[in-house]
Amino acid sequence: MSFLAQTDPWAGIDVGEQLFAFSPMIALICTMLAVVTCPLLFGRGPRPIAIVVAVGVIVTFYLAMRVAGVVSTGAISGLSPGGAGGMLIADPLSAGFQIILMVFLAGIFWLWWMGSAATERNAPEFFILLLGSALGMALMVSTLNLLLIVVAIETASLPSYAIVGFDKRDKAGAEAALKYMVFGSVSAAVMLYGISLLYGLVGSLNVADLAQYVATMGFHTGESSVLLSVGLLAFFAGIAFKVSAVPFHFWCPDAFEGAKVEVTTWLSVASKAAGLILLARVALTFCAAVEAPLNMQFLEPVAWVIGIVAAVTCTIGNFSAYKQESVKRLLAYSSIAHAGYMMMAAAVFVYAGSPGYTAGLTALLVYIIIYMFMNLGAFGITALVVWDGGSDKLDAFNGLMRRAPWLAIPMIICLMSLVGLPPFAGFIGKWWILVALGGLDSTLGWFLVIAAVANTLISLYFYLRIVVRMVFAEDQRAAVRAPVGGIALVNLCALALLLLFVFAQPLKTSAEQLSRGMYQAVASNTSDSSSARVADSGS
Amino acid sequence: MDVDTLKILGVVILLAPLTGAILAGALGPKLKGNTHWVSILGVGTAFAAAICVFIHVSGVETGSVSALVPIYEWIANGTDTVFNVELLIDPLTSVMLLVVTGISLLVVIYSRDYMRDHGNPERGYERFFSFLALFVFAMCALVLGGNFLLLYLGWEAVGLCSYLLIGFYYQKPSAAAAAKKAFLVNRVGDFGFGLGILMIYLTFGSIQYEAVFDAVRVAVASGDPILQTKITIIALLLLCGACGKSAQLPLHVWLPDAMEGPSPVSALIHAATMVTAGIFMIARCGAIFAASPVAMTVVAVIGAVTALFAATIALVQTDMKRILAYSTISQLGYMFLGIGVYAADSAIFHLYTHAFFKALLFLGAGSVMHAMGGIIDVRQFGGLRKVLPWTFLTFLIGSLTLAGFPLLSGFWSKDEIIHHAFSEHWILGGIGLVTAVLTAFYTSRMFCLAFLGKERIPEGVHAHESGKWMLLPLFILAIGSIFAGLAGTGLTGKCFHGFLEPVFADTFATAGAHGAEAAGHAGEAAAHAAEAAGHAADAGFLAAYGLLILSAALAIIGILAAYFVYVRNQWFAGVMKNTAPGVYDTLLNKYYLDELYDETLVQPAKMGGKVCVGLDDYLIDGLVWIVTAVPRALAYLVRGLQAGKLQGYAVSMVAGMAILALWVFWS
Repeated sequence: MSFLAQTDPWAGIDVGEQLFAFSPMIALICTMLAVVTCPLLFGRGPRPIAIVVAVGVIVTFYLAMRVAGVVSTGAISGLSPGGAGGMLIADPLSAGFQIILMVFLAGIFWLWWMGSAATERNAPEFFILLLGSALGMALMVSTLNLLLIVVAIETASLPSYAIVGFDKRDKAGAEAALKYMVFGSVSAAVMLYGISLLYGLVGSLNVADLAQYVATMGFHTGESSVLLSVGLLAFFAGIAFKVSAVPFHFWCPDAFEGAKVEVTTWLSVASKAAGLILLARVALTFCAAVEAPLNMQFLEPVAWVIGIVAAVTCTIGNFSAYKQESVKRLLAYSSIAHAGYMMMAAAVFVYAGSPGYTAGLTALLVYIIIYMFMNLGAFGITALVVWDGGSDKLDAFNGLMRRAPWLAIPMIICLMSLVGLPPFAGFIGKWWILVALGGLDSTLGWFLVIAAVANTLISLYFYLRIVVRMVFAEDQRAAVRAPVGGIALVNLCALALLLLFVFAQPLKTSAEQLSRGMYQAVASNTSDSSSARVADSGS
Repeated sequence: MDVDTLKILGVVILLAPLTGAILAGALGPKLKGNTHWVSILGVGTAFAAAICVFIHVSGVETGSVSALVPIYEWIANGTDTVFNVELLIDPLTSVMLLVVTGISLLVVIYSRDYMRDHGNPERGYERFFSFLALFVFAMCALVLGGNFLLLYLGWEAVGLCSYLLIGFYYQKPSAAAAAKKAFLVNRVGDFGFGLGILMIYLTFGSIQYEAVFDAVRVAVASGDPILQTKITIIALLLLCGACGKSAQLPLHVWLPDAMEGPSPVSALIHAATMVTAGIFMIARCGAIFAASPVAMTVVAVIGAVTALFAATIALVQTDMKRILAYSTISQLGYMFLGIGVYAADSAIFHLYTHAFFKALLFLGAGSVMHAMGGIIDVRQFGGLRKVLPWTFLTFLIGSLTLAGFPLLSGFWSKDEIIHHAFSEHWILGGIGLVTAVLTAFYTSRMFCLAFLGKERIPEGVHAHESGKWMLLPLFILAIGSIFAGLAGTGLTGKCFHGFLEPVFADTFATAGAHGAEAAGHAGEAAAHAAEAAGHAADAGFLAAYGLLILSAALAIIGILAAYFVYVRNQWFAGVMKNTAPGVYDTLLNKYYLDELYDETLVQPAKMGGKVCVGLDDYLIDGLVWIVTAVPRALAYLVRGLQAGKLQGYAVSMVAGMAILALWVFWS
């Protein structure tokens, strides 16, 4: 890969272009404002709000596509005002994530429209919160500034707390929201504490400067090593909270069970994906700063921490899902386990370092996209069943194959895909992670391969429990009444899972392009100071 | 060849039945009794495309007749690991495609009436047609695939369809058990098959046919003994899969039980197409097998022994479909024998003629079963000549063909294999001849008991000739049984063999040439070559025509003997039974192999299963308990300090961070 050095990355890029680079986020903010003003003009009914949101999502999607097109040529791969250390970044990765986020938001919106819209009295508030958390997530993947990272995580989290307990009459939701918020506050406090330590140590909020410091000083040398390690760990804890990695996962099952299904679906994918990509960005900045021969010495402990947390997350998520009776709670634990699989990919690129990071990052992106379809499908079907029967217990799924074959068949596909069985896309997702892990050819890699495969086997059991209930359990209840649009949504997800297996290569190729084009930050005080390296994606 | 045209045709052959299967399943509840049209359309389209492929391949005048048709790249990691979806189209493929799609089309048409009860569709009518079309897709994928991955995919998919269709009447315990048995026995074979493919990938670094075969040729030329051993192991592992799928000893036990499925399924899957997948696979992997004389000998011996073994069992069975099942095993043994003696073209020729007459016989048996209200035991009915005139006529043609009656298609192909077997070793040829007599005898026995003699019909059964949807396929197959063999005779200049010749040209050399080669390998070249040469010389005329006349005579003797015993002098059958009761019982109980397997394999496996359940109950559940105990224990600890879960969670979180921090410091 070749790097194109610019003395001042803002030079030659006029204000219009800068604004354009961040236009998807601006469009999201405008949509939120429109949602606020809409009830004043057209009343509080769900229909006008829905139109505004739909238009906003489509415009944001379009703008993100345009930005992705522009940054993929390497024209404005990275934006950072000289000296300030880069507040915002627009590169293929952030634009790609915003595109995925909008597709997913559209799916959530569709689900909401099918189920909750008719009875929702507070649609404007709901969407302000939902779009607000989307904005926070979009921001999370677009920055390498410690302060802005905190702001982004809080922007994503605060609306999430409120939206989990959105239905005031629902006690379970309110309890879940409170737990979520307490955890979130603690994690934010821990993270801020860590960041204050790091700032005190390095004197800069730029992650690249931090990485430079680590590269020169190392973890184990110098009197500040304890400070550095604690600071980094505390910072990591904040991200791990968003990803819901063990031991920061306790909020996840409660919040997911208490919230509405649309909200659960949203949080289970988007929040984790944003956290993981943020982790990837930070980790790769470290990799870029540390020269290749020193990789082992400096980054191996980091890779091991991430790897062990990933393996433990997987295992605890899967084992906890074993005896669950609530499908929402079961899928919540499953989402913890999947966060573990995705963190394994993160361990890969930290270990492999700058030259070999693409395999890990590609695997991560592929997995996120496939995971989005799997979870949207599985939660969507759960939602349709809940809306019909009022219960999300396993019993509600009894005899679904006969009562609603158009829900049972996509459910089987989504669940088998979550296990990672061919011929569904989940297999492809796991395959690339395993290939990346095997490619390391190291103790850590093989350890994680074994952990991932063993966990896949463990997970087969509890996913199959639902299948068994759907296919074999006798049930005399009437057929499930589900809206046609909802059935269409979940079947589209199942179809996507099949097609992404049969035509596996295009997804991988585009994910590879995103990861190759990623912006690589460098410290502000290095020889080519106050510059940003712009990845030449053409190479 | 024109790759673009072949690409379109190949995709059509695969997608048409698949679409048919999906539509039949999805629209079945709406279409009900008309679902068969969806399958007929899907399979018919595939058949039409298969004809186009055949015309295309046979029209090639210059250049290679084999084309690798890439469809798309499935998984690729850089350039080192590439798995493609690609098709290999050559004469072998096009012949197999014609057989598969052609017979499938006839069977689907036949099923339209067969799967009806007094004109009303049976329960699961749409499921049946959906599975049938799915099977055609899977079989075409198996045949068309251009690498071992697709071969394996098709291989497993046909196994799945076979399982689903054997267990079609899953309410019947025997059908469910038979489906399970077929699946499990095939698992044994497929395990070896999967290992073989894995070993191919590890040894040659590719799974694409051409790349692997080229690598094998290079390896053979290099004479590296380790590679040579590896190739032999690969061939034996692949053979393991072939034995399972093609029901050869010792994995043949599932096929007779598989007759629990509906008769059209027996005709299509368990006689004409799926069970020949093993023969197709060995022929396709000719380069691997031909490079290993050991493996070839094993193939030939397994084939010969199975042919004889199954034929003897068929002598005493009374269930028409079971007799036909054993006869299928026996005929598949012939095909193995053919390949084993380097006569792959003859084996494929026999596969092709066998598909006609065995499908005809099974469909005829189905017609009898339909008329007899589901009864198929020849002790309970007889003399159906008058009642079922058209079934009688077509069944007669099928039986004579199977018996090897001169000038019918089965006669030509079987004789060829025996001829080649003789030039390899006289014992193999001798077994072939003995089996031929037995075949003629049991076939005629079944036919005589069912159709000749006094008319006997089970009580309460209203016997009637089948409808036109069932008779049409019977007529077409009967015509095929008579004339299909001509394609491989001197009359047509052996055009069948000529067509296949490019496929086997450099793998399965002629028997004589190979004999010398094999002898050289064994280190006794001179003696053996001289013997082979002498044999060839003095057998010149005799081998060409003497064997033909001999086997014709043997077939007629077998037929007449059966007629003598079972029509003219029925007391004689009892005498035969009583003179050697031990032999009779052994045959009737299929050499007690099922019992042997039960004692030595099934019961210990069940014991192992019980041990595993015990482990699961105590060890795994205990582990689960321990894992879930950690948060519970923490929660319990916290409960003493303050009621409520949240604080407990927070303590765990902080404890987790502390552990991580300590770990970072200490490492």
